[in-house]
Amino acid sequence: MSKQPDPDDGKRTGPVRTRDLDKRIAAAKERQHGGSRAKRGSVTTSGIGFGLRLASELIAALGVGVAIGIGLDRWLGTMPLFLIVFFVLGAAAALMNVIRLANAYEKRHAAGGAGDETGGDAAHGAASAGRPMGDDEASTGDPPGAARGSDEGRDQEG
Amino acid sequence: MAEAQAATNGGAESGGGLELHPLAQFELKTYIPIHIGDLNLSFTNSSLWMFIAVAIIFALMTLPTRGRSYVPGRVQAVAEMLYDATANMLHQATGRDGRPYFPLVFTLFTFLLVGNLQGMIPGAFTFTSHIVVTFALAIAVFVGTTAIGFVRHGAGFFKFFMPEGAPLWTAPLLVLIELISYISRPVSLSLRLFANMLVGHTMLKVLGGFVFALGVAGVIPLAAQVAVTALEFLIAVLQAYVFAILSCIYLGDALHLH
Repeated sequence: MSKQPDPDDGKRTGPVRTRDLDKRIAAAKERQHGGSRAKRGSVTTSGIGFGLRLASELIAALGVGVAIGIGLDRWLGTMPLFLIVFFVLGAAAALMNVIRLANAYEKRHAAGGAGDETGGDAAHGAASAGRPMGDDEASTGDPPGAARGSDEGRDQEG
Repeated sequence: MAEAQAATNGGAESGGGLELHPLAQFELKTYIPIHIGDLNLSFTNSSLWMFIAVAIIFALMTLPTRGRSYVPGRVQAVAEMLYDATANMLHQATGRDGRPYFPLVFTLFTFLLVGNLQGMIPGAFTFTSHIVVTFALAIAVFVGTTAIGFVRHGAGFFKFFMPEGAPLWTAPLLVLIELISYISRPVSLSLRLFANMLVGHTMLKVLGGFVFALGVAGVIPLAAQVAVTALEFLIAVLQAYVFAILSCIYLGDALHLH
C-alpha cells in the first residue's frame, strides 16, 4: 500500500502521505460497512445460543423465586407459604423474561430481514441472532408483551 | 473381526488401565497455600491461569501498540479490532452516556475471552468453568449497575420496577415479578457462561474417552470430537461476547431506565 506512487510524485513526505492514507482508510471503511457503524459487531450464529439463553433465563428467574421463598420461610417459620407464592412469582418472572427476549428477537429479525439493522440489533443479544422464528412462537409471544412496549422502544434509541 | 477384537481390547483397556475422569479437569489444585484468618486465599491453578490471562491481555494491548503505526501489524490489528468491537457494543447498548464505563466492559470482555480461549489449550485450566468466578463477575456488574442507576436517578430508579402504562392495582404483583426478574440477571448471566464452559469441556473429555474405548470404531467419536472442538471455540468467543453485551445492556438500563 505504501509503495504506491503518490499523486504528487513523492515530493512531499511523511505527514501528507499519512493524511492521504487516513482518507483512503475512511473511504475503504465506507465501502465495506456502508458507512454505518451499527452493522459491525453483529454476530450471526445458529439458534443454539438463543435457545441456551432462553433456558438460562427461565432457570435463573425460577431459581431466584424459589430461593427467596425458601429464605423467607426459614426466616419467618412459615414453611410452604412463601415458597409456593414465590415459586409462582418466579415462574411468572421467568415467562416474562422469555417473552420479552422472544419479542425483541422477533422484532430484530423483522427489521433485519428488511436490511435495516440500526438500533434494536445491538441490544438483547446480537450474539444470539440466528434463523427466523416460526409463526407459532411469534404469536404466543405477542399479547403479554404489549405491556412491555417501552422496553422495546429503548432499544431503538440505543 | 479385527475391528471387533480391537473394540473389545479397547474396552478392556478403558476398564482397566485407561481410566477416564471427565470432571478431573475442573479440580482446583493449591500451589501456594495462603490462609488469612478463616479466609482461604490460596494460589491455585485457577489463579495461575487468571494471571496468565491478564499477562496475555497486557502483552496483546501494550507491546504491539507501542509503535502506534498507522498501518497496524497483525497483532496490533487484533488489539484494535477488540477495542473497536467493544466500543461499538457499548455505544449501541448505552449511547454516549456509557463512554465512562468502557474500561470496565473492555476488561470484562477481554478477561473472559482470553479465559475461555485458554481453556481450549490442552491441559489448561478453564477458570470460567467455575461458577464462583462467573458469579463474582456477574454480581459485580449487578451491584455496579444498580449503584449507577441509583446515583443517576435517585429514587426514580424504582420506576424501573413498574412497567409504564400498567394499571395501578397490578403494582404489587408486577413490582414483585419485576424485582425477581431483575435479581435473576446476575444468576442467569453467570449460569450461562459457567454452564456453557462446564458442559463443553466435559463433553470434549467424554468424547475423547470414547475414541480410545472404541478402538478402530473410535473414528466416529473422533470426527465428533473435531466438530465439537470447533464448536467450543465458537462458544468460547460467543459466551464472552454475550456476557459483555449483556453487561452493556444492563448498564444501559441503569443509565436510561428504558
